[in-house]
Order: sequence, then C-alpha cells, then structure tokens
Amino acid sequence: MKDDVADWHDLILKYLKEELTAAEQLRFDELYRQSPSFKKLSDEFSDPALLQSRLLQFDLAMQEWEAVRETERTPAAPVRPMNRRSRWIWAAAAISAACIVTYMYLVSPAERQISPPSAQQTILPASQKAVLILADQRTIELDDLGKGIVAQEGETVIEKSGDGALSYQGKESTSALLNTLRTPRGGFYHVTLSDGTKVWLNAASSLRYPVTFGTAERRVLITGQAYFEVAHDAKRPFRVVVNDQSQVEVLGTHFDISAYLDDNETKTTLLEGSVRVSPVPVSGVSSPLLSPGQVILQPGQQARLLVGHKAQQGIVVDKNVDTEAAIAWMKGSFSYDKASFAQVVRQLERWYDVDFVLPKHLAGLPDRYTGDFQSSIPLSELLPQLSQISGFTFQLKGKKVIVRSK
Amino acid sequence: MTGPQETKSHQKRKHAMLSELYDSYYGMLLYYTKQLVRNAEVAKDIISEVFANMLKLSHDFQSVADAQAYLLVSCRNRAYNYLGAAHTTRSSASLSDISDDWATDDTIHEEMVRLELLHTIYKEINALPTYARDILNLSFIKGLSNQEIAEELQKPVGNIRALKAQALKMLRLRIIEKKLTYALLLLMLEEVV
Repeated sequence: MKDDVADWHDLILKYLKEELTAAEQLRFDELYRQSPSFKKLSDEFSDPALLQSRLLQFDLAMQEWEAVRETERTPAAPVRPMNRRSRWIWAAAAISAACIVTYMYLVSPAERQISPPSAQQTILPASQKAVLILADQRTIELDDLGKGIVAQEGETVIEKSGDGALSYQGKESTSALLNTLRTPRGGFYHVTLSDGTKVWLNAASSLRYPVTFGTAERRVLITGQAYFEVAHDAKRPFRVVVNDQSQVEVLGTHFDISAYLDDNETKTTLLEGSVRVSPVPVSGVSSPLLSPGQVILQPGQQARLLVGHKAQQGIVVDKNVDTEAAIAWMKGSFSYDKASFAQVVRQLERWYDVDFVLPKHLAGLPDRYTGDFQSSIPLSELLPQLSQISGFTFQLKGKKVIVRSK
Repeated sequence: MTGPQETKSHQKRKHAMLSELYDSYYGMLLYYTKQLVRNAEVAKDIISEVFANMLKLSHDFQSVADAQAYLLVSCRNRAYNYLGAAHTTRSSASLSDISDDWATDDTIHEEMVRLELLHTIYKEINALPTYARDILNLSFIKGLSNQEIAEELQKPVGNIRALKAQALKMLRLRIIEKKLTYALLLLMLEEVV
C-alpha cells in the first residue's frame, strides 16, 4: 500500500521530467485516474490564492539562493574562485568559523587580478548605493541595478524597484523588528516605509526604523542627512531622533534634517507643514504645550542645534531661509548660502568619497561661499569651478584632493 | 566485494551527485525549510549542516530521487528539532521518528512532487519572453491587482487583462510543448484566467 504511493510519486516525478518509459506511461495513466494523492495535489494547485502565496515564497527562496551563490562566487577575501565541486563543501564548512580560517590558509593565493588603480581615475559623483541591515543583522548590498523582493521581515515584504529605491509592504502591525539603511560616502538612497512615509538618504547617512510602526507612534533614528515626506497620520506622531540626541516631531510634512557630526550642528529645515524640534528625545503622548527648549517651525524656517552642547545651548531659529538650498542635494546640485570653505569641502568629501588635504592655515578660513554647483558631474569637472571662485588650486591624487593657495 | 578502489569511486560518484544537488536543489530546500522554521538564516544553516553530514555518510544513494528524499527528511527533522518542544504537539505523521533521517514516508514523497510542480511552474514563467514574464510575475507571483500592474509597467489599465490572458496562453503553450499535459497544470491555469 505504502509502496504504491511511493511508486506513484516516483511516476509523477518521472512524468514531470519526461523520463517515463512506455510501460510506465500506461501505469501512470491508470493510477492517475484513481489516486487520492493526485486529488489532494490537484486541489492545492487549483487554489489560486494558495498557489500565489507559495510562488511568492518560492521566488523569495530562489532569490536568497542566488544571493548565497553570489557570495560563494565572490568571496570577500581575495581567494581563488572555487570550482564547482568545492563550492558546496565550502558552504558546508562555513558553519564553523574554525573551518573558515583553515580554509583561507589552504586555498592558494589570489589568481583573481585586482585591477591596479589607474593614475587618471575619474571620480564619479555619488550614485544609488546603500546597505540594508535586517533585524537579524543580515546585510544586503543595494545599488541601482535589478529589482524585486530583497527580503522578508515577519509579514512585511521588502522590495527594490529598478531605479534604486526600497519599499516596505505589509500589514501595519506592531513589530519589534528594526532595520537600518546605511549609505556609504559616495552613495544615496530612497526608501518608502511601511506607513507610506518617504525618506531620501544623503551620502554617509543612516536611517533606523521598525519594519512596521505600532499604533502609538512612528519613531525613526537618523545620522547624517535625510529629507522626509511624512505620510499624514494624526493618531501616530512621527518622531525623528537625531544622532540619539535631539528630536523632531511631526504629523505629516516635508522637511530636511542635516546632522553630520563633523558639521557640528544639526539643521532642520521645514518646507511644508509643521514640526516641533526638541533638544532631547521625548516619547509617549506629546503635550500640546511646549517644553523648555522646544521650538515649533513654520515653513521656510530652519532650526539649528549645536552638536554636543545639548539643551543649554538652545535651538536657534532662522526665518526665511532658502529651503531649496537645504534640499538641493536631492535635485542634483550643491547650493551654498554663506557657507564656509570647510563646509563645502566636507560635503564634497561625502558625495565623491574623497579626502581633501588642506594646509592648516586654510582650514579655519572665515570665507563665506554662496553659489550653486551641479552635483552630477565628475569631480574633475567640478574642481576647476571651485578653483575659480575660491582662489585655490586642486590636485587629484587617487582618492585625495590636495589643496594649495594659488 | 568492496575493495578500496570501489569505495573510492563510490565516494567520487557521491561527491558529484551531491555537488549537482547543491546547485539544483538548494533553492527548493531553502523554500521548504523556510516554510517550517520561518527564518532564512536558520534554514541556510540547516541545509549546510545536512549537506556536510551527507558527505560523511558511507551510504551510496541509489538515485537522485533517493538523495533528494533524504535531504528533505533531514531538513525537516532538523527544522522540527529547531522549533523544539513547543511544536511537538503538532500532529505530524513523522514525529515519532524525528531523529531518523532514513524514515522517508508518504508525506515526503508528496512534498517532493509538490516542490517539483512549483519549480516547474516557476521555471516556465521565468523562461517566457520579458513582457509575459513580468506580467505573470506581478500578477501570478506577487498577486498585484490590474491597477497596480498598470502602474508598475506604465501601461493603460485596460490592456492589462488582455496582456495577462496572452501571457497565460503562452505559459500554457510552453507547458504543452514540453508535453507537460499534466491535468494539474491545466486545471490551475483555467482557474486563474
């Protein structure tokens, strides 16, 4: 009896692989008409919803397998690409760290040529690059290529579109799962969170957020610079904690936060709506009254908070600021309104992933720069423009830019 | 008589078979194991363990199907172990022989067919021309509505229904072409249109 069933499944497998002999074909046709197992499978596969959810999971698993295969093909250490046979042994060995170390020693040194950096390397502007860190600390490299589902966290599917943007799709439920999106220097990225809020992350920045927001509040953490378009939801305030220090609370609005630690100040620029900037993170129900140190911004205003000085320094509000300048980075330009040379340099360093080497006496220049640069051009085209207005000369050496007075 | 020579060739053949299976069956094992443990990393660890373990076995597998069944049972057993005591109350035919990787049963054979069918459909969808594949991916796999598909593909929503039907027709033709006239598949396709 049991053998019959096994036999039957064997026949189906052969059938699917087109390996049935003529005799088996006859047997197949006969069993086919009376098998309870066939009935069961046939019911399952005629259920579109069930089939769809299985195919979705199957697709996800296949992509994860591709990722496994990718990492096996391009090991982080410069080891020789393994041949087909040893690849899976490698994966098996990967469960033990000790094995990995041994393996590294056994495998002969690199045959894969590491391309020498060419003397005249073009330094390209930032592109769509980021790393997604899942709740279980798994990391996924993101770029502007390819699209599809990159991961699943709980009931939420994380999908990547072709133009290099992430989105979280799933039922809104309370989730303890936290994801982090981190851009390197020379990278930027766009993500749509589970509540529909859109965030553009500038270079050398990070955004930490729950996979789904709870019912009480929507809280995210940022470092670096990000532009937010918060989906309106009066019942759930959206709170941005900046560098684990200050906080911006909103209900639904468009604003930019620039909080690079090396800029020494956190700037919140409001384009639309209304936000409350607080020198310290606040949780729970927000009071309609202002707590000490808090300010409420109107569109066109910018709040500045010195990093490291916390509340005693207080928040300075500038009125009628050029809001377009604050979000110029999103629109393919750098825009400066009385910026210091050091500020300009830091922004270029993050965007082009280079380091400026400047003599000490130039670092503290009080010069104020006002003007626009295109940020989508290679560095070699931008430097002559900067040279004209600054009176310095720039020499590109690999990833270093040497600054000299003329 | 099993001389050392023969053992060696056995071993070599097994290596080749397992290597082949690692390439062709890993994705399906990952899908299957993930369904049980609900965690991709745990599933990957389990699969690595199972392959490593299988390499050490002196047993010579009769056929690829034998080896596949063994892989599935091993993954399932480890998955149940991982899920632990909380799940032992679950009614499953095989809980009594949870530690026995050789205890293949009907459910495993059924599982193999289920996986093979899913894989077949998946492969055929992905072998279609780009536009048909895209539309089936969005509708069939991701379950998007016509409205959402229209947005994704930037096509008028009125065309989506026709495009979907056309793509399904192509899929059905491919399956017939491959002599996969298995009524199952046809049944399923009738349902979806």
